[in-house]
Amino acid sequence: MLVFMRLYAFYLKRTVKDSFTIGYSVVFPIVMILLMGWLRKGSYGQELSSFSYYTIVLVPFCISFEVTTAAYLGQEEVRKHAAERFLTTPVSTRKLLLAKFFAGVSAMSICHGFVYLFASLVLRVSFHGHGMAMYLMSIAWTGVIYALGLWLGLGMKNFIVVKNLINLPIMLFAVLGGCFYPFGSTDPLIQKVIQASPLTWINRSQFLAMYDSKSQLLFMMTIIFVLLCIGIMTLAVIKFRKEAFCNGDMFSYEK
Amino acid sequence: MEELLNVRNLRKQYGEKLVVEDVSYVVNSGEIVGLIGPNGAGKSTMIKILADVEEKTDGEILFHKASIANQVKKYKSKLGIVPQDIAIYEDLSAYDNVKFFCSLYGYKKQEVKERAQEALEFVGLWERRKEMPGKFSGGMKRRLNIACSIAHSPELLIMDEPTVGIDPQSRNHIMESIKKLNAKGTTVIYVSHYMEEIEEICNRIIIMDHGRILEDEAKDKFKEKYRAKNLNRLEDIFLYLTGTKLRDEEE
Repeated sequence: MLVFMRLYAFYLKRTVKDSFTIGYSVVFPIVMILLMGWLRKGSYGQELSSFSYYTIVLVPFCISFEVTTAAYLGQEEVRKHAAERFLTTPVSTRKLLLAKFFAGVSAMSICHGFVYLFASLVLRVSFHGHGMAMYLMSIAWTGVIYALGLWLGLGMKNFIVVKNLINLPIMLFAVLGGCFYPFGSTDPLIQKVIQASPLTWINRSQFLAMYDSKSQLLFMMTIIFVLLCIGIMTLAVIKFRKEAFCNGDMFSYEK
Repeated sequence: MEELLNVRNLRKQYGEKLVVEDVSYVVNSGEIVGLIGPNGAGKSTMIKILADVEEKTDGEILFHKASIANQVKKYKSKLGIVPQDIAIYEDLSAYDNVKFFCSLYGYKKQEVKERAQEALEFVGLWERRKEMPGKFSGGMKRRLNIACSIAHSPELLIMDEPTVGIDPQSRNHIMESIKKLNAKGTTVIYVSHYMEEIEEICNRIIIMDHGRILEDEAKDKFKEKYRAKNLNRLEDIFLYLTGTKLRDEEE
């Protein structure tokens, strides 16, 4: 436990100070909320300000984009040529990966907390008493994204490949989930496609909690995300290959 | 001398390519074993397997006569690796680098500090402990790389080309440090392309090529053996055994 805590503290300090983390987890969401909120000012009526709408929908969207940050952080040891040194210590790979995971999720959640605080204090966004539940779900969603990013980062040699591979589906999910403007259709096929986006469900659960006081979906989403986190991290630990960690190769790739 | 490491029929295969082929040797406590070979000989791969960084295809490695597979944590706590690449965080001070890597061995905070100080003093960097390694010369970085590997007092230290690209003063310091470490009881496996270094510090020499061991002898016997062939320098013996053809294979 002592070594795990040391690793956790080490990674947490590095992640919080990382310019990628600050850029993607604080600056990018705030700029997006301000820009979209300003552009769509007055579009959502009296009860829901445009800043409220975009705070609710853009934070989960920006979290999705952090998969790239997580992949980048997952490759830190390779970039520093320090991977071999970590592997030759008595630290187990399970401890190493979990420390990286929890430190990353903690750092990013601190950043998201700052964004919510900014929206609440500066933009006067109200979460109608569901702020904490929404924040907890955002932590769970961060967990899913971070676990996924870590897995990709540990297994992929080329960081640009991760970015290119992952950005397209995220943007598609964001459009379907109403992250740029409310999106809907009466066409049954399009309706089905919309349901495929996790951001649709995240946003729906938040609006249901805030405006209809129905928080069941919000809690259910949180639980699903926690289970997904556990699943992906278990897979990452089981599939961990020392060669991939040291050289950044693809998982299951044989030289 | 007591047997420390016993490598038996070690094999490593990447697809069809056999990189390490049935390699067997024993390292006894207190030895400094020099491992030399041309590029692509399989040295680095073998070192990585010994360091548990790569999986072996076949064979067995015994540490204190017990398989390392059954005592991974214990083996790793007694093992020090000086990697070929400088494995330090340039945005952490020299002191913090050594403290961090030493802390991964489970020592208490005070002991970590003491060990880090001892290691930095040993490599002559204690006075520069607060500085960032980014500002260090190549030789200083190499010495810090060593300090990070010895702070936990390993019983077996594997050094993979620790003197590449450094000035003669730093090289001399590293050579003297290895002798001192060895005198304190650390067994060393030293990989290098510099024959004069191998001749200076090692008491046993292993020559590898194409994944096989070509020679494994005590330094004195080694020279005796080839004197009849009028080969007096280690480099001459090395070229005689491995040939003069250029090697552009990837390590």
